[in-house]
Amino acid sequence: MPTADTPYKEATGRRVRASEPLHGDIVEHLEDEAQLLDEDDLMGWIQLLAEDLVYRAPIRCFTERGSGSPFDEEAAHFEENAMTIFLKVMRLTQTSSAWAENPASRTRRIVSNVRVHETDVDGEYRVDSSILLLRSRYDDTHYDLLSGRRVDCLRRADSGFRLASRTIYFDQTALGVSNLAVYL
Amino acid sequence: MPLKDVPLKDVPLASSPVLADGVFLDELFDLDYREVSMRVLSDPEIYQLELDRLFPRTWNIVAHEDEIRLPGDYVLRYVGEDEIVVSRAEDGSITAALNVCTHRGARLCRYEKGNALRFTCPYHAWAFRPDGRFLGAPIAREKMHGELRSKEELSLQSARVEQYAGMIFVNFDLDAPSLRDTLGPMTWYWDLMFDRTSAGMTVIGPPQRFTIRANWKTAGEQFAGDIFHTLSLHKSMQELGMLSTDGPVQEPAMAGTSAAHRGSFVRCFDVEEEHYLNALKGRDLKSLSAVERLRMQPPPGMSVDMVDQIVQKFSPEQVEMLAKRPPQVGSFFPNIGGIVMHQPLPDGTLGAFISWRTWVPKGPDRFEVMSWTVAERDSSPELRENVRMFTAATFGVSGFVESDDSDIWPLQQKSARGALGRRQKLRYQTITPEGKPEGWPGPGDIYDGFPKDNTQWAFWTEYLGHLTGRL
Repeated sequence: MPTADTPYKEATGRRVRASEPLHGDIVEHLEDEAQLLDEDDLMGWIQLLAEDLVYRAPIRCFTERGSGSPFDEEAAHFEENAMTIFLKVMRLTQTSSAWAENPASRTRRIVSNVRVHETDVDGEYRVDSSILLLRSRYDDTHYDLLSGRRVDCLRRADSGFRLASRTIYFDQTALGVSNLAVYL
Repeated sequence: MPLKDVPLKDVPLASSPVLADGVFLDELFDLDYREVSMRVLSDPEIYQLELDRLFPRTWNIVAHEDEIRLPGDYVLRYVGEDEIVVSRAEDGSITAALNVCTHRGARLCRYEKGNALRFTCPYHAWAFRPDGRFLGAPIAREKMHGELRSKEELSLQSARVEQYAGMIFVNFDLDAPSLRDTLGPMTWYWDLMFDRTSAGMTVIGPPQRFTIRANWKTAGEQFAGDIFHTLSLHKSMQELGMLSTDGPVQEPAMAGTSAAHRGSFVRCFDVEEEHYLNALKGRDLKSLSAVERLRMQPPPGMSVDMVDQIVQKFSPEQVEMLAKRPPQVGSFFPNIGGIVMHQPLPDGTLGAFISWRTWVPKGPDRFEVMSWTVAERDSSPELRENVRMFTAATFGVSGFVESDDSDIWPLQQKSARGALGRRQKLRYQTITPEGKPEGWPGPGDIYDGFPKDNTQWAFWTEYLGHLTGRL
């Protein structure tokens, strides 16, 4: 049973078992998406986003056990829609001076613990996953490390799936990174 | 025998500190050539001097009043590396106390925010009121706090608390000038950014916190007046057509006037001659009154119906300033920044970003950005949503503007680590003579025209003054 501290609403629809083909299709989609981002193919990545995308990462505080969700409903580390993501991708790929990612970081996204549920909307699936991002910049041996839980809404499209919403629940309260010029 | 720990207020300051290799701190600042040794970014000894001499003796921004609305509400925040509890008392006043139990030094309050009328230390259950007053140790018959020290002596160290524009500031120096006196003439400008309406501003959630692997002064000196870097570091905004000008000066956002006072700074952008905002482009602005202009393009985070409040609240000179040369970005010495700006968007609309922020030191080569998003209390849901979204999208950890700053600051830090690099200099040699434009109504030290190095140099002289005890 979820406790009062559970920051995310638990899925209510039917669980799509790991043995079902749909589950495999969704895991493949998430792995393909991670591959695009790891390879810095941002133009390829935005093809996977729905036009009405909501992409966010709420701010978390460390609070007393049992005192409710540690995540704020409004304040966020990421607060994006398709327009802001498109703008940022244009900046990173089409300008010569997006210094935060020039030279590009090397990144690795480990996606695991994928759980899929049906939703009230036909063709839309609630997909929870764990994400671990490793990011290396310049010749620094330090890694930026970010871990969290992603709660996605994936929508079936003509070919494959589109990301309709993603909420990233980071494990850190104060993020140990200089910036989030990369996506998770 | 009393402990040899010298209370902070008694640390002798009347001389320039000598570093371990015999160098006087003064010798790292070349006042003639306006150069600062990069050693000030990486030297752990200098960092300790800052923790002792700077942060406990200056006004630190710690919270917005709406984060602790109800009696007993509290948040944990920082003064230098010292953690403090900022609380709302039952009488509505705000208190701040060091979050270090006076018994064995444990972290007293262990939650970042909450509501409590007393804090009981998890270690041995010594109890304190949020304002720091010692209530007692458990098992009274055993007198577990002893009889050598009075209860008053066992209270948490408390700070002075003052407010400006809804933000809460604290200072551990009982002898320091008041916050108002410290801000001095700068509020004439900052009121136009953060204190514009009768209802005032509220905060959108807790502050965003993220870590930059650089010395806090890389951000501190930049915010003390470096408008110039926008042309290169943030050139991508020009490349995307989000920052452009059709005025006589072809470098966007460079026309304007800087005002400064004791290391603090504000930049008033010229939106009359240069008007890089799309809404103002191509308009014959000079034929319009200040109020007409403000109605045509209200300040960031405001709607047309709020413009009347500006007219009521401010002097005609300030209203004129807001219409022609609005203050939009600035800093309070040593480690506080504020931004109230528009961001022209590709679809022709405007995003507004409004933020208070502080650079919290975490070691000589690390600092945390703590950034609050604020919005007018009376703003419509749409306006509030605009501020919430575009403050996150432009500034802060995922902001496409600030992510370039947060990449360059660690690279300055890397430079300051090398034996050769730390002997290099930060240079502030472009000087503009102090001079007010004709009819300039505002106070402070005024530098008109293309942004030069004057105010950033003033940051360093103020800094040196604090660390050598001359201020």
